[in-house]
Amino acid sequence: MLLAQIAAGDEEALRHLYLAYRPRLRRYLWHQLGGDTPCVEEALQDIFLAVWKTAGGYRAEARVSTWIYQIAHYVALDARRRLARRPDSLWLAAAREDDAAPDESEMADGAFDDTVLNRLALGDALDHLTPKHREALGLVFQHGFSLDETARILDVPVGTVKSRISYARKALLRTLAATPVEEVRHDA
Amino acid sequence: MTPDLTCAECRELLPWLLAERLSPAERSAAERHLVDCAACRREAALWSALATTLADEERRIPPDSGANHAWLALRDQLPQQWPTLPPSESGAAYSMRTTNDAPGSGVAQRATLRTASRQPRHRLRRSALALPAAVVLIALTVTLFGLFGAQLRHSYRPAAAATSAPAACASSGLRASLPPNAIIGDISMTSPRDGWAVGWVQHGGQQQAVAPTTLLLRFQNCRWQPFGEGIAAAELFSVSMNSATDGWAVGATVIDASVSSPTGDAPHDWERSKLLTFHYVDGQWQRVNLPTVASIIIFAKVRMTASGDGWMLIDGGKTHSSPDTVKFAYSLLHYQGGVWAPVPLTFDVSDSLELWDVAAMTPDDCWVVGYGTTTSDTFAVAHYHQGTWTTWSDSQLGVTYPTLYAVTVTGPTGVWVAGSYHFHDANGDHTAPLVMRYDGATWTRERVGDYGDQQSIHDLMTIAAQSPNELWAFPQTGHLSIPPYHMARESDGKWTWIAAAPVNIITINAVVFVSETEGFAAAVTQTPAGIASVLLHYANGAWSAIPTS
Repeated sequence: MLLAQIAAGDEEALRHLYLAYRPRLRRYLWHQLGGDTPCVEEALQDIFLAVWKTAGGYRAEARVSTWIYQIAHYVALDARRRLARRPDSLWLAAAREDDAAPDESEMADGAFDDTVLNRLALGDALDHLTPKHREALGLVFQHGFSLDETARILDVPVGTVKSRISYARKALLRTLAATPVEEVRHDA
Repeated sequence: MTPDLTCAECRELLPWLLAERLSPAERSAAERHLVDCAACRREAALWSALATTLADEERRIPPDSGANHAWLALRDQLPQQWPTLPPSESGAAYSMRTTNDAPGSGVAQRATLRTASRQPRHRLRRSALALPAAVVLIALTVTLFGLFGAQLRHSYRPAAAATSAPAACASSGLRASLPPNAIIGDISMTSPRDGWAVGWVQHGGQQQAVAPTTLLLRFQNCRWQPFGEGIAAAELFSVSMNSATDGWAVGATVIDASVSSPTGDAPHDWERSKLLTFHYVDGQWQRVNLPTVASIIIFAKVRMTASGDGWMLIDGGKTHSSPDTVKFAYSLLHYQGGVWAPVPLTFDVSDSLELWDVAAMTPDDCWVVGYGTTTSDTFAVAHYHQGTWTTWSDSQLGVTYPTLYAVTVTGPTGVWVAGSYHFHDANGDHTAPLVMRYDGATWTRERVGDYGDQQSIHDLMTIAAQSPNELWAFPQTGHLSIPPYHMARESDGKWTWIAAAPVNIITINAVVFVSETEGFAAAVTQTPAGIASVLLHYANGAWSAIPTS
């Protein structure tokens, strides 16, 4: 078992794990860290240093991928906070909004029309999601984690994952609703 | 055939339907619903478009050309990154277990129990658990997380004991003999100089090749040390003493649920199985078989009152009444007149109910907290009094989306609950620490602020009373970079965050005050050999680690 070998100090085992997981973690971090390449690389290094230090604590109680993403989640969270503290950082505003969620009252259930199916508009709307909500969507759709696994990675109750997904949906709808239809169709 | 879904149930499944992460039964039910429901099909179209858009986004990421270079840079850093021992006055790792030959030592029955495998519910939450991180999160998922989030003194007993009992031990004179990899789940003190702690020992180092063994510690002569030999393949979660001569401990047997592999390298997977109960009487811990109330045991907690009345909250995991219907199973036993008997949990709640903590102070009266959804509202707190349950919902508490993990009772006008809540304001959506007090008539929210910029600390997992008006609450952060641990404390109605822990702590499993000036706590920290407990002592207004010897 790779993690047991890593726990025993096997660098080659860590290399295998690193090369196997780097592509997907890089994609995860890319979205979480706004495409800041140096930051992504630093976070990748932090994640695998943490894996190196803590592989002995892996209990096979979660999938290895869930365990590694759990570490990645915290590393990304730290990295975002560090970015936010840069005096000139555009991340300041984003970090402040990190916990922000759309007002549920603004969007009634099912209040979307065909406009939402415009993927370009949807892509723009995704850019307006807070990292927290973007992360929940990404873990499910891009990284294929189940509800329970996503909750474990984010270290929140299952209900919170559901609410973040729900908030993300509403935020997307709200952003789309604020997008002039003509412009959307033109872009299409 | 699985039951038909409502639109709300179907929509909740849609993201995972599109992500292809539903069970066959869930998938089938969702697809069946979609055939007949145009509104949900439109909702599914939204998620489908979103999934496609997210996939498109992946292609916007520049190709990775630096993997090998990055690996070499990482490798160069590895030798400096091994963990260090937590601070310890002994300057060494934990002592080996010692043999206790005190009269009456030993549990009444020792047995290695192995039964059929069954998958327990994983109750990780923030679970789990400031740590070096997620590693500990995982380890705690197995051991504590969620399971010991709120071990504390559940009923404040006035410091009368301090006046009639022997004087407290000086911090400098305290010692603890803990086996390596010992996890302490709970503490119960009968005086400043006498008490018990329970837990388990994880043998075989990180690979856990050997099943855990129960751990029973006795505090006497200013020293914590193992009492008797442990029971193989079992763990103890909770202990509560009525008096110095009478008390109860509860735990579970464990079984190896790992799947063997041809190469024999499959990790062991120790899962909790059957309830294990002990009664301390006549100077001995005697095993007592209680009626079966759950087919498996995830966690159990016992809380006795000074009068001999007691309560046992048992988490029996989840059961499936159909492949896609999950029901959590909790049992509450009431000890009265020498008999443990089930108390029906008659709350108006859905299957999503989770119960986290129980506290009691007077006979025939107990408090239970957790969270869940009722048919019309949400569940937060329940109070049992002489055969009748009273519950409070979110709206009755006046708090939005509370999640309560801990409760303690200091008196008729002091029922304290702790956890977190979710709220919206002009700046958005937040989760924040929550402490509420019930004065016998109304619930009031205590003024507990966020912990600075470490906003990930928002769940208070444990609450303990130092005096009727001075309490401590302990967060569980699960965060990489928050040493030392912080605690919230009340003084004259104001809660402040205090950097209180003398060692880097993952979580606090138990906190017990023996007087208004002295207390003990069982913390969990990480050592090179895995997670292990450290006993803390509160005196002279500060917490210190009890040296091992």
